[in-house]
Amino acid sequence: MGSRTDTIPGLGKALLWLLLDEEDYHQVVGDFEESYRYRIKTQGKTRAILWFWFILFKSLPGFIWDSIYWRGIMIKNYFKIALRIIKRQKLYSFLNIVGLAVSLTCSFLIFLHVRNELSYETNFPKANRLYRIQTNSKYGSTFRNWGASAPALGPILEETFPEVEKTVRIRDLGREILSYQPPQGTAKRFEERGGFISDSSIISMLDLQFLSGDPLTALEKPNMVVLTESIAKKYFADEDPIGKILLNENNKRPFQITGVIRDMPHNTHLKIDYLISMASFASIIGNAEMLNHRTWKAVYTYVLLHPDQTADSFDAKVPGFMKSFHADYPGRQEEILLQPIRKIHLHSKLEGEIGANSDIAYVYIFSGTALLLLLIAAVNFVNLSTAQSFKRMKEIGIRKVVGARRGQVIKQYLGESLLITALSAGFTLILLYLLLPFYTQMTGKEIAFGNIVHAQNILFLLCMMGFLSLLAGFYPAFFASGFQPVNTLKTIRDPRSSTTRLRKGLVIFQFVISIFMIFSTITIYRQLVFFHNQDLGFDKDKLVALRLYGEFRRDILSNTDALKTEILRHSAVSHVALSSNLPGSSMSNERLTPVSVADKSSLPMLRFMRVDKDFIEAAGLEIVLGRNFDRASDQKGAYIIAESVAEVLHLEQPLGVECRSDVHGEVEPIVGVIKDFHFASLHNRIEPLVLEYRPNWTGYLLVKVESGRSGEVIEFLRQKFDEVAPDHLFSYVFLDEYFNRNYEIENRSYSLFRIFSMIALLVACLGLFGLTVYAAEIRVKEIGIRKVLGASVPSITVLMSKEFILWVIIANLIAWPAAYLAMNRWLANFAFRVHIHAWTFAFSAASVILFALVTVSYQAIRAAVSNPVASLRYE
Amino acid sequence: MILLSRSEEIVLLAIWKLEDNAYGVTIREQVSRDTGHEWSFGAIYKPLKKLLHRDFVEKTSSQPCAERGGRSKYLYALTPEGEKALRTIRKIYKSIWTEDCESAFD
Repeated sequence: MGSRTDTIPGLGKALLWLLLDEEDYHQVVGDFEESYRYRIKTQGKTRAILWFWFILFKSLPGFIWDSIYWRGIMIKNYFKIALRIIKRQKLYSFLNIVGLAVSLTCSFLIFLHVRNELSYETNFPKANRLYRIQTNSKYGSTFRNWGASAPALGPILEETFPEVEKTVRIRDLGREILSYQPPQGTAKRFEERGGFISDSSIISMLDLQFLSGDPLTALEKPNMVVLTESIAKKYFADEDPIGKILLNENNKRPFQITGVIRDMPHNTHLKIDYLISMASFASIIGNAEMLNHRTWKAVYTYVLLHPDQTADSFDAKVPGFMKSFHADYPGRQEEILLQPIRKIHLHSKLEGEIGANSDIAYVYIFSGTALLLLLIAAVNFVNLSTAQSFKRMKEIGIRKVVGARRGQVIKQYLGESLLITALSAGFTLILLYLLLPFYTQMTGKEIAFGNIVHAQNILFLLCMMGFLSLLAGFYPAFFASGFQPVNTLKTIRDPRSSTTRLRKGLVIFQFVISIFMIFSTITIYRQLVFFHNQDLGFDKDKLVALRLYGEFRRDILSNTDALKTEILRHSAVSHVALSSNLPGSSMSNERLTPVSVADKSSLPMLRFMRVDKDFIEAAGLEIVLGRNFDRASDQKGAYIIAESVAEVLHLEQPLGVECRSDVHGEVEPIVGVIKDFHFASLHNRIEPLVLEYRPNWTGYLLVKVESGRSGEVIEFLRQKFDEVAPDHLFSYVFLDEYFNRNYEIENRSYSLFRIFSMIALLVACLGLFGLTVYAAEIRVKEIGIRKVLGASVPSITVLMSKEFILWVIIANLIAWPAAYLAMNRWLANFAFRVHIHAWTFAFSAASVILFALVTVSYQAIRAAVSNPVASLRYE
Repeated sequence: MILLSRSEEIVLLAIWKLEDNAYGVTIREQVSRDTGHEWSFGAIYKPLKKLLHRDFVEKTSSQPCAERGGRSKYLYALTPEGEKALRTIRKIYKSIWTEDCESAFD
């Protein structure tokens, strides 16, 4: 006899079994197997398997046609019966279909989200060969992993490494204000965030599509700019932008428009709105030599490898290369590596990212959630249809007596579950259509319903349908087809058969999932509240930040006092200060070198912020040593350091220590020490921060406003600004809102999780409701007799519901440890986090038990108050 | 009168050629050889079932054989009706394929 290895694949067999009737099945499998073995002998195993699947799929149309042709009447009968059952068992069908449709909808939306997350950068044809240079540096005891790299690096890489086909350097311009002055009328002025200075190689590397202009020369010369379609439309409406001039209001530099490209795809980390030629870099910075700088992390360098090259051979040569690259900087510890651009969105958290990236963990979490939701709905289906099949015992008995084989009954059941899932898939489409606007709002991603009807999505939905109908229909099919005809026709009903145990297990499983999700939602919520309410060590709630730029900034900085007194005149304003950065954004990385230290390469990197004399008071920082900045005595600059800076620099007596700056090279004294405060999000530890007195290096005006009066103050500020600088674009943020943007991923996850956990609970309760209805039907006589014998309504209610409630309690015991461990792992992502309280357990348990109780007791009470005459009359 | 379809005709002729060794595997091989391209089992069983239904062929069950994993096979053979159907189709061909046609399309 042949061994197991030369029988045809089981999946193929199962497929044939589903399609063919018993007699044909054995023939066809026999034929397949004989030819298959012959092929293994003559051509080998792999070719035989390939041949098998090829011929099987070629055969499918014939088999399907055959089964419809020869079994048409039976199929019609199955269909009729299935529809009758759906109609007769309205409640069960409703619970099943709604449960399935809701979970299908949710998992489909999650699928859309996850697919979008995974699709980042795929719209660039060369994405698989594109890498970003990551620079890992060590400064003394501190590490910095940079997304940015030195401007000199790109061209040298292109020369030195044969693996590299092309490189591009791009520099993020941040917020800029651009304006266009048409020949007639007023100037159009907007704040832009998507500006980059770039080498012209970006055009071929990212395959940018030019709508007008010449791709070959568009970024060749200084002061050339290429706009995306939507930016061009914003400034020029229907005019032809080519050759026109855009003015950068910040430095009054004109740029000539040389091209218009298609908008960037939404799924890329490079949110480019306009590109300025690299030849302009020197004149913007004011120093052409800076382009040859080898340590200044000023640009992002992207590398295109040759098609037949790998990152490995590049990486192997890096150590040698870095030695020669940094030959003039002895003691510099730095390495570069290639980061595939497709990994940036989900895997990269480097210093100086272009924008906030997402996290792969959330992709896993959401996919898991989708699967759990589907499982809950499938469990409902299994429970309800096994319960229901007791009612169909007679039908199955008669079918078997008349000659149905077990296989036929199984196929009938599977077909019915396919019908039910198909119906719920139909509802899913309707639900999707209705829910899409909310979904768009929640995730911030624009999806039109038309885009959903897309081959890949439809395929996903069909696969889900097939998967669900097999998952849900499999057990009931085997269970019901195993009924002995003799027993079924004798009306022996045994409600306490083995399925009860299974059903119990499944209900517990459902509630474990619900409790797990509710528990997680509570924890995420508490962490979010913590994020928003934690005392950061400074007053973020009352500060409004105004951006200063261009001539206006210079005007203000040269004469701050006049404006300050003007603003302070408003009764709701208590402080006005200047700063270079806003807390919550990334701060400058520099070193502070006490003059007594000779070799600065062993010193750690610190964070720097430039402020004026009012900043410490306006932010409400606490000075623990020394004094605040003072205009008269700190004319030449001074430092106030956080306590942690003194620690990492080993300064026991920090006051009066003279320190040299990395950036401007001047020596200034430390005049004070402040308590550490959270100037960055609570994801990370507090880093050592240095405040330097340099009012001229600032760009934000911070106004402290009495709470509740911010609206009127902003109006007041707008007026004042309009008086001083009529052409100025007035742009402001509330510091707390700005700061909380750091928690956007957590916020979004919370709002999704909240909904999904409610839905999980709802679907589980639908199932529970179905089961109590069933239990009440089965026990209708028992309840009647109990009542006749004197049982009270409450005692019967308890009798009916205690079992279900017990299940939910067991589910709690299982879910708690799992949820606790999972949430502790999630919380470990944050340097500052909440602890999981006992009441999280209590609340998740209580809410689920309450829901279950309401679900169960409705039916239990109905059963209990029913008149025993009605239930016992029949006999 | 029911005419044979083209695939039925091909399968029926294959069964006649295979004499007493006509079953799924051999029929498929014969048909593939005759037509010069590979037929799937689905394509064989569809006409085969119709032929059975119309009593043009009959089937007998064989002993279980090892190379089929211990399954038995059905051996197919032409019935007199089947032979008659082939004769009919041959007659029709002769009358529609006149000598002119044959020389023109050879």
